[in-house]
This record gives sequence, C-alpha cells and structure tokens, in this order.
Amino acid sequence: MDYVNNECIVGDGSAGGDVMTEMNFLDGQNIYIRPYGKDNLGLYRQRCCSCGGKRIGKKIGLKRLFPMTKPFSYIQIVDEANKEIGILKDTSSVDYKSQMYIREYLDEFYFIPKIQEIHDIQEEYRISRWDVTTDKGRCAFEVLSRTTDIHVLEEGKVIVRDADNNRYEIPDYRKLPRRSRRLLENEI
Amino acid sequence: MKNQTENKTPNLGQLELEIEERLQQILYRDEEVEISIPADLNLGGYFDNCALIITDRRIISFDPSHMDGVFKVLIEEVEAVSIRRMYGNGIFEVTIQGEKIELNRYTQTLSAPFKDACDYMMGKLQGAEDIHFHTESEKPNRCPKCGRVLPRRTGVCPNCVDKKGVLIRLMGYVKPYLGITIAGIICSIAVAIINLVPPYLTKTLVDEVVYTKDLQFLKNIILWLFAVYVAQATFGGLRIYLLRYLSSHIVFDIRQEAFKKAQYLTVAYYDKRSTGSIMSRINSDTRQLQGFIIQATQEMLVQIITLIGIAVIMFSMHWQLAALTLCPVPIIIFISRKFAHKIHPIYHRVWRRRSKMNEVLSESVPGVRVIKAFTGEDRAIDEYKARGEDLLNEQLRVARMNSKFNPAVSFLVAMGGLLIWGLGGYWVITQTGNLTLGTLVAFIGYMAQFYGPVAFLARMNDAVQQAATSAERVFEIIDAVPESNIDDGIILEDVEGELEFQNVSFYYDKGQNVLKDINLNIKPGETIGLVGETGSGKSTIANLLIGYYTPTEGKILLDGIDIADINIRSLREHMGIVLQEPFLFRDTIENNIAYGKPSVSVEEVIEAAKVANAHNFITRFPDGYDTHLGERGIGLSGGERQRISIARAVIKDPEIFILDEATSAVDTQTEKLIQEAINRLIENRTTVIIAHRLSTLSKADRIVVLDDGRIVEIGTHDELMEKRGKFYHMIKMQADMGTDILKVG
Repeated sequence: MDYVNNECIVGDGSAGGDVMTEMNFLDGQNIYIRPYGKDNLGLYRQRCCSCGGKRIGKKIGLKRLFPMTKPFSYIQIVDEANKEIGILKDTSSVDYKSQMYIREYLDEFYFIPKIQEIHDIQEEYRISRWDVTTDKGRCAFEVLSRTTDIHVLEEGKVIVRDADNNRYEIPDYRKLPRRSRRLLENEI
Repeated sequence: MKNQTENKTPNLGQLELEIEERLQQILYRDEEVEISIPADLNLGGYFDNCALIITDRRIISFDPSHMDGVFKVLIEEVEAVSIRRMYGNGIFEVTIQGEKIELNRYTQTLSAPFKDACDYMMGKLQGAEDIHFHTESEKPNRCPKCGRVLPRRTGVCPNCVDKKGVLIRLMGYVKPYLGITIAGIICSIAVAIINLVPPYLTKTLVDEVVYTKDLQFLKNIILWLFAVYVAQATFGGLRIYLLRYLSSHIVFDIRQEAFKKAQYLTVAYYDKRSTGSIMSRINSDTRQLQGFIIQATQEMLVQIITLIGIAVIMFSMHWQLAALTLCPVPIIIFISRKFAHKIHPIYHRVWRRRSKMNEVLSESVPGVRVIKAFTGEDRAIDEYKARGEDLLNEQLRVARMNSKFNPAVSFLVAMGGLLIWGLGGYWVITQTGNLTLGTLVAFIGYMAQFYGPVAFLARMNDAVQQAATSAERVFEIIDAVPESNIDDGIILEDVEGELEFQNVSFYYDKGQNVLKDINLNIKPGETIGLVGETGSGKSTIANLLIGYYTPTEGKILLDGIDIADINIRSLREHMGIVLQEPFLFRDTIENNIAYGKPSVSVEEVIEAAKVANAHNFITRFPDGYDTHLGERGIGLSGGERQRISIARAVIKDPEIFILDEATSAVDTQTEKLIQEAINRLIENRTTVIIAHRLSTLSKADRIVVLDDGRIVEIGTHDELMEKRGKFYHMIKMQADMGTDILKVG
C-alpha cells in the first residue's frame, strides 16, 4: 500500500496489518476519491511536492464505523482484502466530488430506509406489524419486541429493527405527522 | 404444464400478477421453472416488486432497471453467479463474458433465498449432480403453518400453538385448588347476598318501626342487622383469606414453573434476552397475575351477584325509581371502556420503563467494581435517574388519567343520587309516586352499592388486558423451546470418550458461519489443544460439545453416537468444563466444590481441592471450607476462583474434559498451580484444551489450529513447528513477546 506510506497520507501503514494499534486518520485535504474501474472506488493522493504530482489509485471499500449515530463521519476506508487503510473523520473534509462518490457508495451499501409516515401499527400476539412510508417507498414489516428492537437515540432519532433484521430510521420522531407520532409513542 | 411456477417452484412468496403474466409469455413451451424469488427492492434501491426466476435453461430477472423491465440469459452463457452482501440489502449478480451484471436487489428479508439460489446456481454451473434448493425448509423466523413471523424468544407460533387463550390457560392453574376455590366462591356468594340485606332492613326500620313505634320490632331489626353484620364480617374475612391463599398458591406454582423452565432453556435464549427482562417476568409479572386472579375468580362473581341482586330488588321495590337509577349506567360504561382503551398502551409503557430501570439496576449492582474503578458512579446515578424519570412520567400519566376517570364516575354516581333524592323525595312528600320513605332510604343504600359493580365490570376489561399482558410474558418463558433431549434421548452408561466432528458447521447469525466444515477425530484419553486467534471458533467448539448449541450442519459423535440423540443431562454428566470466567455461587466453598455432586463426602471435597491446588488457600481462610462466598465468588482472586472451579470439575469425575482458556487471566505462579491441577485432572480422560497461552498445551497429544472457523493445521507440536505454518508463527510471536517458553511433550 504504497500510497499509505506516502507523506501525503497520515499513518505509517501499520493499520493495514493484523494488529491495528495506531489511529490512522486520513487528512481529507490530502486525498480524494474517484471511480476505479467500472464498479469500484479508488483512493487517490493529491499532488504534492514529495510525490511529484504522481497519482496512485487503489480499489477501496467504505464502511461506516457508526452507521446509526454518525453516518457521514468516521468512515473506514479498507482495501480489497478488507484491511484498514485509514479512517476519514469527516466526509466534508474531502473535495465536493469525493463527497458525492462517498455518499453514493454509502447510500447504496447501507440500506436503512427513513420512515416518513406511519400509517398503521397493528398488534397481534405482541408482534406489531408496521405499515409505513419511507424515503425508499412504502413497505410493511413486523417488529418482534418493543424492548430490544426499537431504540430511541438522542435528539428524537429512532432505530427500528424488523423481524428479518432490516433497520429503519426515524430521523426525529418529534417531527413526524401527528398521527404517526401518536402511533409511535405507543411503541417506545 | 411444466412452465408454471406454482407446483415445483419453492413457495417464497407470491410473484406479482403482472410479473407472473409476463413470465408466462416469456417462457418456452417446455421450459421448467426451478426457482422463483420475488425481490422486494429494485436495483435503484427502492421498494418495488421484482423477481428472479431460474429455469432449467435460463435466468430471468424482472427489474425496472433492465431494458423493458426484464433480463434473460441462458445458463450456459453465465460464467459465475455471486451475491454482493451489503448492509441491510444485497445484490444478486451474474458474470457474463467477464462482466458482472446486477440482476436483482433485495432486503435482508430475502437474503436467505437469494443466497440459496446463488449456491444452487453455482452448483449447477459446476455441473454438480443432485443439487437442491433448500430455503423452504430453512425459513427459521416464519411459522410453516400460517406464515406468521415467529417470536424471537420462543420460536413458537402464538397463533398455531396457543388456541386456548392465555386467560383460560391461566385459569387452568386454579384446578389443583378446586376445593379452596369453591369454598371461596361460596363465601363470595354469601358476602354478595348478605350485602343486599342491610338496606332492606333499613326500609323495614323506617317504614314499619318508626311509624308503628314498635320497640320489640325495633329490637328484632337491630338483632337482625347485628347478625347480618357479624355474618358479613365472618364470611368477608374468610373470603379474603381464601382469596389470598388461592392466589398466592397459584402464583407460587406459576413462578416455580417459569423458574424451572428457565433452567432448561437454551443458551441461545439467554443470549437474546436481558437478565432484567427475564427477572421481571418471573417476579413482577407473576405478582401482577396474583392481583388478577383475586379479581377474576371471586371479586367478579361478587360484583355480578351484587349487580343482579340489587337490580332485582330495586325493580321489585319501585320500578320507576329503579329505571331512573339506570340512567347514568350507559355513560359510566362508555367512559370506563374508553378509559380502559386509552390506558392499556400506557400500562405497556409503564412495564417497559420499569423493565429498563430494572436493567440498569441488574447491571450496575453486579458491575459495581467496574463502575467504581472507572469512576462511573455519577453516570450510573444519572442513568438510573433518567430511567426512573421515564417510569415516573408514565406513572404520572396513569395517575392523571385515573384522576380524571375516577372523579368523573363519582360525579355521575352523585348525580344519580341527586336524581333519586329529588324525584323520590317529591314522590314521598306529595305521596304521588307510590313510594314510602323507607323504600327511598333503601334505594339510596342500594344505589350506592349499584354503581360500584357497574364501574368494576366496565373496567374489568382493563384488568383482563393487564393480566393478559403479564400472563403472556410469563407464558413466553414457560412456552419457550427448551433444550432438546431433556427428558428423552439416549442415556449414556460407559463412556469411552471418543469424539468425532463430521463436517460440522455452525453460525450464531445466519450467513455468518463461525465454524466451517470441521472434521476431527479425538481418541479416548487423548488431549487435544485448540489454538487460534480470538474469534477463530475455539470456544464455539466447546459450546457445541457441551450441547449449549447444536451444529447447524454436520454432527458430533460421542463413542459413535450423535450427541443430538443423547439425553442432554446424560451427556453433560459425562463432561466437565472449566470456563475462562468461573462462576461461583453465593454459598460456602464446600458447596461450590460439591455443586456437581451434592451427595459427595467431605473427604472427597478436600481431596478435590487438593488435586486442584485449592486446599492451601482455602485453609488460610478463618472459616476454611465453610467460608461463604459473596456474589460470583467475590472475595477470591481470579486464580482462586479458577481452582475452585477445577475442584468442582474433579468432583464430577467426567470422562471428557473441556478447559476453556482456564489460565488466561492469572499470573505465572498461579498459572503453574493451575497447570499442575489441570495435569492431574486430565490424566486418562479425553480432554479438549482451548488455549490462548500456548504453554497450557504442554500435555496436548495433538494441536488443532483454527483460523476463521476452519481447521488449518493439525498435528503434534513438533510436526506443526516443522511445518512452519500458523502455529509456528503463533509460537514465534509469543516467544518474541516473552510470555511463554513452550515445552510440549
């Protein structure tokens, strides 16, 4: 991973090994992300004096370290072997195009529909069946346990897990339509 | 017709009619559909109705992203099929001429059938014979009968199993106390009837005694009233005692049954539940049931009899006034039902908040040392306060609702009283309504008794709901699927100790195999060392051996018998396990050592302690073997706790031993003592040692190296060192760190 060893990127490459002991935060000013081949993303180094303006690309994967609470911060960049190259603290630190690619990649990889409206919650045998409209369309799912499958996080964010382990997000339940909020309040 | 999807095709959900029709148009006359899976997302990542069809010659995908919404490819043109697994969704892809083409996208709900379709297709492409698409039998979270999702904890479909209804079932617990119940019912009926007498005697007193001024009659009435009150007190007292007796016994029985059942639940059940939640079910919910049983068995009866009795008396005394009394009844019923409907979800919330608060408690009390060490007291206090406030808020909500409901009912009752006093008084004074003063006074007395049962019965639904909720929670434990072969299965007698893993695979979460195709033969008396990195599957092997979990594929044989067929208690009787984190009970050291065999003699306890190198430190305690250990053995060091657990294993004297990283958390001197104990323990027994410190393997005949759930190396220490593979590198690494100097014999 030659580009990791490069001065342009923070870290000495040890993060790529089995034991990750160093915080390997990538400096958004020194890197950018662009397509690599047809279906992949690559990590590139900004031109600088020490690398003589040479660009190095590499097929990478992106992972959210905090998929629920910080979806666009602390993005782990891994290589083909799933080894960590580094962590991007904040996606806004890279150039606009890179941000677009990151967002597009993460939006495809992480399927967490955002619930916009709750039409109905019916309970049968203590299993609740939700009928909702999300940003990905309307759907219905079952929630097995209010205690373990519905989590209210800070600032009104609610994460719902269905019987098949799909996750749904309510960004701020306080902003749901009144009826939706009333239905949800019986569940949380 | 072969080209129809309904017969042979695995039923993974109905295809959209439109897709079904298009499919019929696309299929060749003799083309046979082998698999059809509806996909719930389109390739753009939106919920949609799409589908993947695999026929005997083609793969057909329906998705709006494809040209004309459909993609067809001959199987012979497909080089590979693959699944791109992502978070919460996946994509089914095919490779054609070196290029990957996305066919369908789906949520986690359909990950299993798509994974199986991928395996099926790969098998087909590789020319494998006898390939099966087996998702239908592997849909673990749906009821095969009705298709409803199964509760995670019980795995039992509540629709198909429990037809009787939870409350009828609850009443089943009354059966053993039928005599007491009947006696209680008799008392209740007596109380209900007796309650009807005083107003009637009051009527007589006013109408006949006051007017006639007959002192003898007055004396008789007073004596009658006295007798009635004595009977009321006697039957009332008896009834209360019988009710308490009955409900306490029933709750005792339910609690015992739930606790007993909890002992036989699978480890997987406990993996998915919090301790607080299980404790709350066994403690609080059963308490809730006690209240309900009192209400449902006899209180309800008293109220019904009272209601009917009063209605009959009132109508026979003066039907017009009685009809007037009934005026507020519909309003009371309406309000009561409305109230019950509103308050029901709030009661649920109260339960959840209480459970959350209990969770904080049940974690912070045992974890007090960690909390103190990390100065987390304030955080613990804040968290408990926050949970407490959540509960408080919900309880206040209940109180607010009650504060509206109860005065509203009282007001209506008072209004009813006013109505009767007004009209009744008018009729008495004007003597127009054929009503005597005594009847009016009696009416007022009955009326006071009348609205109570009305409100009670109207709110009974609320009590039933609450009880049903609690009963369901308790029955969830009682109904949960216990470990298999608790009461049946083969009872082992003479165990040689030969163990064989045959193609064993295992996952905790579907799709993430922790063990992959393990094949291993362990001879009787052989000591096997399992090594590997954290997460390589070492402890899972121990969990499978002891029967905490069963392999998801393959089998484990003990002396040639599949352990899935062996009675689980019998299996564990022949196995001893020393865990990395030994659990000691709040009991004496003697009882902790003798736990596996309570009838053991004192001499054997001491001998076991000596074998385990525990005797010396035990004798240093002033109370010796009588030393009472605190919760989880607090008061002892890690090494001391470990040696007590080894002594416990010695007492059991099993043929097979499993040692799970028994020396991982102790200093070198203690490790030496434990190692000595282990060496004595494993002599002539089949032993599986899970080792982190490789020095633990000094007595191992063979070493098995695991990596990512697979066996990557197997052999003696010398063989593996010579091979210079994974084991060699692990040894090197530990040697470099200076932690171990390995001598394997």
